Amino acid sequence: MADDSRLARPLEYYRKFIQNDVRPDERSLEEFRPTVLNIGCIGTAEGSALVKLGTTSVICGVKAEIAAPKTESPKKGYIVPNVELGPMCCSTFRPGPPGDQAQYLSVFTNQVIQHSKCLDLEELCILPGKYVWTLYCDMVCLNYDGNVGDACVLALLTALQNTYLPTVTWNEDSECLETSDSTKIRLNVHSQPVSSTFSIFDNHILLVDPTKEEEDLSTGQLTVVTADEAICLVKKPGGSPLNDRQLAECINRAFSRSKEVVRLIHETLNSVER
Amino acid sequence: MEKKSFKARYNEEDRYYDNKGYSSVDYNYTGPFLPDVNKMAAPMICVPGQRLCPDNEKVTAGRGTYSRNGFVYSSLAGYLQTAHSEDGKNIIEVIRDGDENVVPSVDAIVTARITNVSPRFCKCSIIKVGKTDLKDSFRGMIRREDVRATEKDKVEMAKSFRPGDIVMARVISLGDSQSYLLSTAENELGVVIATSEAGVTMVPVSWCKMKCPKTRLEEHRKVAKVQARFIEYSGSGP
Amino acid sequence: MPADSRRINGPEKSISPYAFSKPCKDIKITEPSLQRKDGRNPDNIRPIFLKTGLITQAQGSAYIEQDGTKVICSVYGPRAVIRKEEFSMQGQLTCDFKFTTFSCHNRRQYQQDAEEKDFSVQLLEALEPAVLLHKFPKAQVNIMVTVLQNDGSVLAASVTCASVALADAGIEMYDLVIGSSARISGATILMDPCATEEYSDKDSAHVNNGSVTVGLMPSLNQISAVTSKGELEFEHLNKAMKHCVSMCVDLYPVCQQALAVAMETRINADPKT
Repeated sequence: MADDSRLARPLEYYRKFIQNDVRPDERSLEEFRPTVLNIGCIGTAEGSALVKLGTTSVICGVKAEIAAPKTESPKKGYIVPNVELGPMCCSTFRPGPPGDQAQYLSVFTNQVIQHSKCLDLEELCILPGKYVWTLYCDMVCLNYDGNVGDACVLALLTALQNTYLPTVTWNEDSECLETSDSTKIRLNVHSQPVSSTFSIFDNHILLVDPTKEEEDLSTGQLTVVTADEAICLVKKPGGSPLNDRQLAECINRAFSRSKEVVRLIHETLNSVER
Repeated sequence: MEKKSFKARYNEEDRYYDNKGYSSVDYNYTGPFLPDVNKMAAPMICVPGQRLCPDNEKVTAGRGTYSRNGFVYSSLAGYLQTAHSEDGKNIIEVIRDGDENVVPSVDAIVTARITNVSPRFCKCSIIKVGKTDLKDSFRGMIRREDVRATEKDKVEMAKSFRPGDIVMARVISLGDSQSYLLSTAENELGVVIATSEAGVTMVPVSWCKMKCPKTRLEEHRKVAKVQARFIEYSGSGP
Repeated sequence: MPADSRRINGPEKSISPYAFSKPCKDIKITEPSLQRKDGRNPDNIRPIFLKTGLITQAQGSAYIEQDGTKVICSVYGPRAVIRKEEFSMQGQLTCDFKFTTFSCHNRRQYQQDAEEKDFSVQLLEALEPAVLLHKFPKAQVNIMVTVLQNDGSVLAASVTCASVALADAGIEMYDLVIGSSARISGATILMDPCATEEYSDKDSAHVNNGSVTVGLMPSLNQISAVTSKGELEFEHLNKAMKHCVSMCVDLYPVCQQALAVAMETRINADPKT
């Protein structure tokens, strides 16, 4: 009798593929989905990027505003990343305030920014103690097909590298700010955090870049964020235990992925600037 | 108004749309006579609102179409198919082939996964209607009296279904706003796939028992007598 | 604004940097030069790009781009009704309209504001007459519209986008609904206005200053929705509506083409046919 239906028995269906070291979408177990980057697609944002990881797509728009700094750090600007998983991107999300997963991803991207030190917040200063830049980075998921975390980090990093701020100067005579649209300054991004997610299937098999179906079936997940040559963040929120050999394997894979992604970002940025 | 602006992006040959015939709002138009789809190399693609043919005694508006103002229109984005009905009429249909939007209807055979078993009823999520996979499941409910056709008062729900079982059932009513009412009171309906406590797919041994090939233990189920015409429903199709 | 514990919060108050830029000269759209800022004639519409099927998770989806206006829409369903609502033999249609925070000149908030709620209702009312609701009793179809970038005529673009997404999802409809809009200023009618040309309440209150948006079912030649803003004389409104209708008719082949391309790829991908 039939027991390989994808809908009725997804786990058995998957096992048949995994036994042969292949996934239903014809990827090998350690293969990422094709990654596509598109930058500057939103004209109303200071910086923007659209990332497609297979069919998962995330768009990130950076909107810059001016605010007063905190008294304890008069030179530091703000960076506010938020992930939106709206009802549009997947049937399981409902309209309303962000759910658990969106909150988790917002915190995660915030940690990535802080730990990787990719932005020097003091460079966001306009007038110490009075005016600093606030960068609102909103990542909106358009299509949720698994591994949105990696897509968000990539969209955020690319959007920041594509962010141009208008020049704002303090006019001492009139004692007010003056904005000039004509000259724009590119944001300095100091390091390049890249996130790689692995999902654990049947307690011991590692799948790189899981799709939504694979995420639903997984028994655990591991995320490694690398920043250039160093590890910036490793997250393994519970789930099946892994041994040290597997962990080392994941970290190696994360570094090789990081090189691919950084190359992709450079190629995209260069192709647009020319 | 200048049309150049968007033509630039859509300069492909306008193969399917003869604007004179279909998209303009011309009520005097009597329509090109039905193209013989079988002879055409590519199926004719329709979009909602597309006028297909005059509505007269020779044609019947079938699935995916509606008739209004003396014409048959398409109500789906799909492709045209014609068939001959018994009384010699042409049935005009617009179909999407396996991609139809179905909702459970009364008398439809559905495939469902049991989610919750209580002494009086069990709840399930409908994952398939007929042969069509659903993208989102619908809630269903099988009441104790609808499990089997005979000895209804002796039915024990725990001996009929377990959470996780895949069952075939028939929709008997649209139910309340919460769930559809399903019935397995036919020989061909009931559990088709079940996992034993040892985690192995069981094989049916009688209409009320299934056996685990690993532990050789028998478990009670309301087992479906699987017939050839139903096998493809349970997912072994090509 | 109270702090939102579910999001990463920034400073309490922030202002757009463009509030400090030197005020640019007021654009007079009534000038009889017949040349708009982007070089169009008053009658010209912007080039349209329309594609379906980008959101694979949804039953159907569409993306529309009218130069600077970018709208994406996904359709889910027919699916089970989420909330405990009364049993109805008619299917239900719901609509959720949202601007992304970075879509407009000034940053938008996360919560749905009054304008977005208003657009949700208008969109729903424009689409409902076109859908065969009796085909999905006690189920619902959800339409989610997200504006990625707003450069005017958003509602019109959303109507078109949502109706194409519905068709792509295989929801039965009497006809597509095509949206178009116009800005009226004196005797001038500007078709498909961009953000700087759009009517706002702040504009001077002289008569014949406003905007109109029309939703048309082109094949049935019925108008499913009309909404106008501002103070308008009937003659001018009528003239503008006629312009809008002819714009919708012009857009119809674009929608047909996009759907045909989608169906063709579907057929080619499926060897059964």
